[in-house]
Amino acid sequence: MTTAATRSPRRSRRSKPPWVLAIPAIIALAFLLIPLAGLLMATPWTSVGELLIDPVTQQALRLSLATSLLAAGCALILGVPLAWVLARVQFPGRPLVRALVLLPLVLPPVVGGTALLTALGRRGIVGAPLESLFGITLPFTPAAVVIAETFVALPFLVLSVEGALRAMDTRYEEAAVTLGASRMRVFWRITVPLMAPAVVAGTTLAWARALGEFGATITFAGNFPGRTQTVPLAVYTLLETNREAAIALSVVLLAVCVLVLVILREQWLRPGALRS
Amino acid sequence: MSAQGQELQRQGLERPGLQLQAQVARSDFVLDVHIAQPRGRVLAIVGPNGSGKSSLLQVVAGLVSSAQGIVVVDGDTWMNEDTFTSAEKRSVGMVFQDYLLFPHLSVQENISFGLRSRGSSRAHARATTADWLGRFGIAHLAERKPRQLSGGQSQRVALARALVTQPAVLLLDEPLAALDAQTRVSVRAEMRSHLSQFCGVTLLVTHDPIEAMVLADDICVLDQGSVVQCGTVADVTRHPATEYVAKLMGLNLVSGIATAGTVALDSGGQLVTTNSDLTGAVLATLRPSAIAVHRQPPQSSARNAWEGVIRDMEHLGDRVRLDMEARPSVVVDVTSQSVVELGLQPGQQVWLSVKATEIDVFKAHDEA
Repeated sequence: MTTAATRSPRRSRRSKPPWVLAIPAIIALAFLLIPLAGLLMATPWTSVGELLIDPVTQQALRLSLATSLLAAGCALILGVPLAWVLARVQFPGRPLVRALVLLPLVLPPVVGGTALLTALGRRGIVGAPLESLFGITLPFTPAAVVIAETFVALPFLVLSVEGALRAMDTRYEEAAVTLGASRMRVFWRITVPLMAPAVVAGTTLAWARALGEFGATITFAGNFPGRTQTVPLAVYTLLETNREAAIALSVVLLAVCVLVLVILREQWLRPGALRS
Repeated sequence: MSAQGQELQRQGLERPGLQLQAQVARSDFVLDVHIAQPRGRVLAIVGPNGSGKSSLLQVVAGLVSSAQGIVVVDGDTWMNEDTFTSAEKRSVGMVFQDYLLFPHLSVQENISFGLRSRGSSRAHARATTADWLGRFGIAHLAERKPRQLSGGQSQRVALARALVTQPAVLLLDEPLAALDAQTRVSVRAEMRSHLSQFCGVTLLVTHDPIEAMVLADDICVLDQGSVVQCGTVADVTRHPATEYVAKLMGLNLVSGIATAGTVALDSGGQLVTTNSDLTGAVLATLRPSAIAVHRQPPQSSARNAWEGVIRDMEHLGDRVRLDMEARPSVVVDVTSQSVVELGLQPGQQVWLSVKATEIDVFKAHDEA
């Protein structure tokens, strides 16, 4: 009797949060979900197919897919070694380097785009020699789209892989060494497989970020249909001229993002998986 | 090179086995150890947590390059002032406290990893691994991933992985610490039989004296950064060099054959225990303080009583350790007061008794 009497109020207290917390929590949830619901309700579902085969949207979709995959690939090739160096190599100023690497995460993308433009533009410190020596001009080309997307996506991959490398028990590698494994064998047979889930998660995250990139792209690559106009840019442009097409494209992006969340469910949403 | 180092190297080149001289810096002291261990014997390194025991294993394995010292194995110099053989080139097998089985590889791949690393062909590695899986009774687990194994199974895989390359030195770092008490007893018995078949040098690091007594031939006790005592298990138990060693090794270990709760001891005599389930070869432990000493045949309720002669007496703080020549021969701890009251002295004939409930019995080896 006594135990039951003391236990039941405790249980009800736990399941019923105080209203000062419950009400803002519900508002927050509604705040996040209502716009998405609004988008889905405004979608002209019957004509989505037609809108998506329109040449302008087709171009945007193709360009977005190609550039975002390339950007994810660049992030992978450059990001894994950088993550490894940050996690495993002791060097002076490492905290500063890590902070700089993560800067694009918080930097307004338009600032990133401006920075790219000033550095890689025709008169920039890298852009000027590129043009004079090789005749390469980067701004306002599809290559500029890839560069802008890589710039904003790279930190996501580095963060994810570095976190995994830090969390990884290096003693697995020691165990492999005591079993006679060379450095290369340890890296390929032990280190890489153990960090593979984080690499997949980081690459997916980087790809999703690249796919949705707007600010840096429009600043550094411009908004030329068929050349640099990616899906987010097309959505922005179409809102003025063809609202339904803009909504249809938005729904495509939303669907892709939901897919990414499903892919990342195991890796990213697990508590502590992205610990840095 | 120092004269001592030269002497050590000379010995190492002549004698098969392990010569180890190492200085390992800990936060508040420097562990300075000199060990010589012949092949085919198990040396237990016993000491409190933080005494630097595990670091010694890392020095032998070559996992720390900062340590100073000399490691000579079967005449090969692995480390001295001028040479350092990198870890992957040393013929060692190591079992870690938490096993460190590679989580992405199957049991079979874990065990064959060392063979493949050391250049065995795929076919040879496969055949050898199959042989060891059978020897450890884990053939049915070959395709499992480590996360699908119980603690005892993981331990077997870890030991098989370390032994499969037939290393010159086997390093066991608290190999049973991660197991629950019940599994530990059976795995320990099994491990004992595997170790007895291993012909290289085995170093076992443990903080558990029973583990040391059951698995090892020799014991080396560390305290405050240095070796307090080194010797055979019987020597160290019977003649502890310090109070610390006496406390640590405060156990008698006897072997015998059990039938229906009674153990016929290999050294003669018998013990009545409360465990009537065990049959066959067993080991039993008796705490020295659990054994009572009497001048006359005891009238107490204790089920075990036997007669013996006091061989030696040693003062250990407020207690006195009696070294008894009896069946079984044991060490007994009594208070200084009892020594006076009973008038105990070396050479004297006395009676010993111990309650059946005070005796821990466990299987000596796994017959399964």
